[in-house]
Amino acid sequence: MNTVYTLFALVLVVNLGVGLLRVLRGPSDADRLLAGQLFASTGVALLLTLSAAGSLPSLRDIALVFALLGLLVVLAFVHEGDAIEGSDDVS
Amino acid sequence: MFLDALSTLLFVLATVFFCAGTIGLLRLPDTLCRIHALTKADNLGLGFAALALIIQAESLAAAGQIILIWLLALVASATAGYRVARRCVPVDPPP
Amino acid sequence: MNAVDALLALVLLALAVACLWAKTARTGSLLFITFGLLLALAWVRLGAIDVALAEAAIGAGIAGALLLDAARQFEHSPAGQNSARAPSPWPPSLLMLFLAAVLLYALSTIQPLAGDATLAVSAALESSEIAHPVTAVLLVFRAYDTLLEIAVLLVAVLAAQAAPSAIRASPKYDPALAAVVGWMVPIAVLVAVYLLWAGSSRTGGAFQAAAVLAGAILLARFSGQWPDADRLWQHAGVRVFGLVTFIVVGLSGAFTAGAVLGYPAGWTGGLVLGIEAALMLSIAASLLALFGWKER
Repeated sequence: MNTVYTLFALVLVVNLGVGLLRVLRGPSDADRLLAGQLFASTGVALLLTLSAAGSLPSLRDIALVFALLGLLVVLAFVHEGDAIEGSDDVS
Repeated sequence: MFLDALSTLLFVLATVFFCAGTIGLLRLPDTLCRIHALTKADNLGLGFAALALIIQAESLAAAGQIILIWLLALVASATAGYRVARRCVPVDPPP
Repeated sequence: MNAVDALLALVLLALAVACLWAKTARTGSLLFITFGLLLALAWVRLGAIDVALAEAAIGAGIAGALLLDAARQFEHSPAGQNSARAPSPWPPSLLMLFLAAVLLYALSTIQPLAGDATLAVSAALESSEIAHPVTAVLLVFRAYDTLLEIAVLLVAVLAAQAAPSAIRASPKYDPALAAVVGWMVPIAVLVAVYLLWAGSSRTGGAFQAAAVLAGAILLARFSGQWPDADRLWQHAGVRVFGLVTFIVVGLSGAFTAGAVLGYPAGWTGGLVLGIEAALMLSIAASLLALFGWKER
């Protein structure tokens, strides 16, 4: 199984590299945000695979944190989008 | 071993969907279209990979944790897609 | 796994350069957060799993939110709107190249100490009654360093609070988001407590747990459903609680174990867990205080 793990991990990292093109190019910030979400889910898959390949159960904990907090970045980004509509005073 | 063969097959499926999602992210013309590629294809890929790993899991607790991670990733991804979409298309309140 | 590592390194480098060359502060922040996600993966490949967990919890969570918030405030501030174009990316790029060269040179001349240090830790691990070497080093062997670090964090928060805080519009209530967050926040809190508990025997600990906890509270805040989410945490007592607990337990060690910051035999595990729990609450409160939030 180890070869399969390694190959799958390679595929995932190649996906990261390709997703990078969207991060760099993506005309709007929303596109970059989406590519960031790609990185997050690919990261989760990569961590789960590495956890199985290296017998490191702690990596699953890191994947759990990725999954939980990945949403926060989108909310922080989009929330401030909401705030722009109603003018806020910066002291 | 049958289980190993099954896992390998699931990993291949996962590869297909992950690559499809990434290609979609790159080639689709519009932000809203790319959200489709990301939230659906990528998470399906993640699901197949999770299944493959559950089969290989060393304990019931480990398998349970993988399922939890997958479900959370699904929900987070869908919600993220929804929020990004709302940013691109302003929602008008009903008159 | 070498091809995987090489590709990962290349992507990291590309992201770092893109971050410096970004046209707006917000884009740069977004790129930096993504960089942080991949950096966590790099830490895993380097074998530093506790660091990877901390990087994921903080980079994806509260640090990301802080950075985006700061970028937004900058762009709305008079200074941000006056600058006609982004500052030239060449100075930071050249500085980055120079620093990289220096680091590479330093790394190439370093003698590996790892063998001696890890042997010493493994030999002493039994006497520390903590199963996880990182936690043992942080809270038993080098507890003094950790104590001072917590004090430094407190001072940093005090300094941050001296700055005028921005007034933000409160997030609009979004029913779909509120429903999702209503599930995720309790799970996140559970995960934080789990990480705290796990720290005694495997990767985890107060800092990572605190970052997840702070992230959970921010999630609740951003959903617009619980406007008072961090009101509980704004009380100054919570921020100081961890340091005070640490000092009290440390001083009591003088009477119970013969040395300040020593632990009596058989009680180490429980005391360390107690200190870490108090630290978790304080660090979470401190991180949230850095975010600061005054609403109209």
